[in-house]
Amino acid sequence: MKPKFVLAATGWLLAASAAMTVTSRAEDTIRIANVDSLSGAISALGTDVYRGLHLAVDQINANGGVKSLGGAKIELVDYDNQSKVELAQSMTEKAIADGAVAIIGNSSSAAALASTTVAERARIPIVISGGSAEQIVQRGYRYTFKINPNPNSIDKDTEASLENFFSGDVVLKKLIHVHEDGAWGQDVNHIYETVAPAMKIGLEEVPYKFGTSDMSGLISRLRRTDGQALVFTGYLPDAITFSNAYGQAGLRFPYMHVGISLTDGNYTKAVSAQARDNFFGYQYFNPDIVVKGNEKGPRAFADAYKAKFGVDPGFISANAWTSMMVLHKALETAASTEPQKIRDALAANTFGPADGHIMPYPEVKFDATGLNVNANLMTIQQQDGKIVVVWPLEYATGKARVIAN
Amino acid sequence: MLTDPAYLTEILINGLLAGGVYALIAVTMTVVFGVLKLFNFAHGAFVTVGLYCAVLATSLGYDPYLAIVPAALVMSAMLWLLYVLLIDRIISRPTLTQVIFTIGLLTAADALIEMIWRTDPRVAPSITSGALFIGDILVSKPRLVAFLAAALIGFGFWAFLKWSWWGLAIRAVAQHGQAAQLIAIPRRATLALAFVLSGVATIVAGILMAPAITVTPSASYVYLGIAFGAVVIGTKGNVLGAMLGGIIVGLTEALTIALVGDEWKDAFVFALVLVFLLVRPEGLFGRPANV
Repeated sequence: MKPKFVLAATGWLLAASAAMTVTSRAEDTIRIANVDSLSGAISALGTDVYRGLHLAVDQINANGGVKSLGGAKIELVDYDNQSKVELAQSMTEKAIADGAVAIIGNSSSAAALASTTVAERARIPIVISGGSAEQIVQRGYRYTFKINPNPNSIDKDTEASLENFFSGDVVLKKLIHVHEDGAWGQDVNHIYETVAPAMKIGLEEVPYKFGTSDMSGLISRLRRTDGQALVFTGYLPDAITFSNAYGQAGLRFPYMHVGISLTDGNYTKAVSAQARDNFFGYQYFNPDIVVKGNEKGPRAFADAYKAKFGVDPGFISANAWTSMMVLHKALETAASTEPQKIRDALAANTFGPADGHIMPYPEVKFDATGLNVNANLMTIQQQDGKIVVVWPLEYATGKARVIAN
Repeated sequence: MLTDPAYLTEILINGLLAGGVYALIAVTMTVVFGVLKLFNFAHGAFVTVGLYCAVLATSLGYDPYLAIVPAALVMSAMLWLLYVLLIDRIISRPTLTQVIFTIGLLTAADALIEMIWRTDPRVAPSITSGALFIGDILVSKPRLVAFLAAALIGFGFWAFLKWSWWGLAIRAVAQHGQAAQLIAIPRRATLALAFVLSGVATIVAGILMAPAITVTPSASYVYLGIAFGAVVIGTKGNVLGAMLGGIIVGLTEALTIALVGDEWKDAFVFALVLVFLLVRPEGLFGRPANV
């Protein structure tokens, strides 16, 4: 063989092995894309998701990364869709083109619908950390996984919880459901239409026009109706309007429930502590609950979050953190960065207290549609200025107070 | 329940109190239409500006009513500038141009408000917050104050138009702009004055309403629709008609809530407006057009 040829071949072999080495080194990081509203109308939600995700990534990497992949670190790259649905699509496409093996984020349902369509076409698994619309998991997609419960969820054991709350002197004979007149309010009313006959109680449905600024007509009607439980299903501005009108009218139902608004910062600023004392509400996450098998987990998460970001975490951040931990476990199980294997691991896995689960339900488990079937709400009550978890009983931090008029 | 006299009285009072403020917003809109011949879709934004003036006062630690005088002074200047720089150029343009322009103005105003205040719901509690009870009848104190103040402002507006020189000038220009100029009425200044006074009164209406509601930027469209409805019912350009139109809208809302349900109130109000447009398009006080 001619020396020049040998030299060239050797050089080629050396270069090829160097390239392979470089490629191997590149797989020391695993690229995951966070496509979300980091600016624009709903940037506040996007920021909450961002914080939960990045805290999780910092903790995973500090803990040795993805061990089944030789300690590869997760590289979380953010793509800003500016709170615009059309950009959710193009940013997801860009993230995939840039080599993301999985997508996460999407605090808005509208953006999630767009992102998941792109991910499905590209066969890249996508974990929705924030969006909650039912439609996200009702399109037969195989690569979509949603952490949040559906938005029309009330607690899965409404009958049992109401029976528990009314086990004292006050007898529940009628529940009044004041709800916004859209799909959400109607969906929740359908649930009460099933619960009420099963509990042998009356149900009075009082729909109102979403976005109404004047609830005086409703209040006039409620002042003259009998009932022991009043449930309000409506968006935050309406919840504020209703709660203030309710308080000003001196109305006092033994059980007054305002849904997820009770712990919202805007709600607590607009409705005085005195006015909302004894109100019930829903909460997705509370740092003081005890999760069996990970007793200190919720508080540890909250403390780590506050240390990093200077504010207390809301449920959106807790959900986002959970979604990244779930994805991490899938990477460990799959022991691969192939999107199909990650997808299969997400579908097959559960994520429970032994894995670091901090939410108020047994474990994260996705059904065939990608819905987290166990996701549930807690019922809380404001008692003497403090939020107390009153249901499910295994997470309760106090007892419900249902006081006669 | 409607057979309960206390309940019926409470419903009618609710409707009257709401209608009183609608009346003021409708009066100011009808003056702009009657004098400037302008379909001002940005009128709803003036209400929102007033609401957020009240929110600003609250955020600074003041009672929202204290925003009325400073807002009136500052907004007078801004509305005059708006008139001179923009409105004056479009009032002689075709209706479609006016509509597109004022919708653009409404959109820009809402975007600006959202940029400053975001979409977070706000409240503006005042010393009048709360309710008073007359027997079993509940009356919202902020709404009562808003009604009384709106009635006073509305009456003042009417008196100004009827008895003051500038009020006569405004009416003259509304009737026949060129003829008014021939008798040395300064047309441009008169139109500017009408626009500014209407705008300020609408902003004050917003401030008055703020303690009774939850404030969000979407308020513009709600009150725009109500004002248009009241103006159509009461006859375009007729001040008394606009007042009555506002009261009718308020009472229609209240009775719909009581008899049918809150979710139907917009439908019934706008059904009433459609009936007027079909059966009596000239409104309550107009003369039918010659066929």
